[in-house]
Amino acid sequence: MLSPLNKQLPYSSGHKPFHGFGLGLRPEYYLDILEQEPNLDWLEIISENYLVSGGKPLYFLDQFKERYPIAMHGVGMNIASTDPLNLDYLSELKTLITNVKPLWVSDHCCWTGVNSHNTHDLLPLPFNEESIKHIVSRIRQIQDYIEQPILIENLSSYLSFKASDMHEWEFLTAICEEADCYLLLDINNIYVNSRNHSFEPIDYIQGVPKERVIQHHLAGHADHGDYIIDTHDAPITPSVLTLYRQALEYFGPVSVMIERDDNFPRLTELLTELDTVREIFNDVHNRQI
Amino acid sequence: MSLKQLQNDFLASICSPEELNSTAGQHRFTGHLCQQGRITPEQRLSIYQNAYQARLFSVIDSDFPNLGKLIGDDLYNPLCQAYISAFPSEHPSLNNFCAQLPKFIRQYAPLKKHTIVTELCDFEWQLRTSFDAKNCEALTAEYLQTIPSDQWPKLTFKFIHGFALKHYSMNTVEVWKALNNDEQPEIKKLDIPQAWVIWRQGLITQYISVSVDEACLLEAAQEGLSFESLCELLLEWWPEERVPERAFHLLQHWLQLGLLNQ
Repeated sequence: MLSPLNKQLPYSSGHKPFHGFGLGLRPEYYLDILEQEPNLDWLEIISENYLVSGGKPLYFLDQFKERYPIAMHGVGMNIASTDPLNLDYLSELKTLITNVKPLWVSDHCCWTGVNSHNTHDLLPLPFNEESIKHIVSRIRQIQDYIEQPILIENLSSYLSFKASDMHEWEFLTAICEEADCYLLLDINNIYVNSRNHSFEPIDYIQGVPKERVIQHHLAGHADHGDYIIDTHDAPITPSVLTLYRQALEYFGPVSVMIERDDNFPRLTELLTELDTVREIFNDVHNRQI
Repeated sequence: MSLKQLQNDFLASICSPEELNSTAGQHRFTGHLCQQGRITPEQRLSIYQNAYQARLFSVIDSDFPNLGKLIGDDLYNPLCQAYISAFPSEHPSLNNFCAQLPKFIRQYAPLKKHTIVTELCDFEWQLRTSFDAKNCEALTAEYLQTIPSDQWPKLTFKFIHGFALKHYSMNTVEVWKALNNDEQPEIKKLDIPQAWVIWRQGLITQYISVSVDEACLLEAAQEGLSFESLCELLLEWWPEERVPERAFHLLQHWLQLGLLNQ
């Protein structure tokens, strides 16, 4: 039996789609983007913001759908929870997928709550066989339900478990391969975790299966010296841009976008930041040609 | 320890105030965490504890932008803390996390006797509810011309999603407006409660005060009373010969505002 990915997307044979340079769509930028129609190749929406019955979010979503390709990114799938899958949520998500016809659907490789109590935080879990088995089973069910493959994103974390017996990148690789899903590799999160958990970020990049990396996130963080918090409230740091360059050299072209979730600058500032990302991409790409 | 038990303990360590304040409670979970660098497991856990509180506080701030301005931090922060403990989020979306706050505040000892607080909380949540209401087509004034005359007596009405009729015994909306403009509000109890209609017109949330007879008819129309019965209610305020004119005027008003649905 074909996996959902093979049925739906053209990159199972090694040809990965490259959609260029995008931005996380946030209400703060709705009007500016519609008025200016800036040079953006695609937009990523937070799926949960549009799981509503009406009003502004859906009105604006219709406007953006006409202008840009859209990827759907979620924070509520609760993939790794030991609660039963939330079928009401998945049903609403599936309706949104039908409406948006997204480039792809992603969520985080984490849990957000248990016993029906949602923390709305992206919580880590031990990197071990028990977790892999549990998550793989859940991703398969999710992919069957929404009838398409998902991308799972690596998260920033601030603690690690004694019960872990492998590296995070080995954990993600095993899940992707066993569940036949794909990776949204957040470069900032790799950097944050490398500092919080003391590993070499390049080991992470070279440790995941390059054929499964479909999207990158870039974002800013808050460096507190002994630890880093993934805040998405500041420009991308030079260290993360350096790591992005290394990722490009290893993975080749991967659709990339900037996430900004707080301390919102003017749109032009984000677009300038995206131009910097383009320049790094072009530099690496031209050298590789 | 199973994954399920670990998740239960992690959640309790993040969310439960008694766990937050209990060294033993925290240790039960931090014993499963690695010691890394100069940051202790307790400090690492506190990042999640702080993020949990901050995230839910920010949702309340966003849904009730003027409640905190009215009552001040000394009352607002414990209120939020108590609400977060009493009504943990159970849904993937935070859209309805605050849905129980108007009811909660009416039973919350430090504030329940302060009517302006409970009413302002109710008003802010209604603005939010109307804003998020499901889209639906509002009837226009031309609709009245399409109704055959023999059907008028039995005509009933349906209101758009997000429509609400509220009665406030304080000058709640004035206070809300002042706070919204960062002005000092003058709080007053009204001689008689004022009725307010709140709804969404297109993409804009609207509110308007209505007279006593109009409020009575809106309430009755919501309950499904026929046009004929609504006219009978108007006899309490209007002489019989003026009732049809008043009823027709109110109906036109509702259509102009976009309150009625097919």
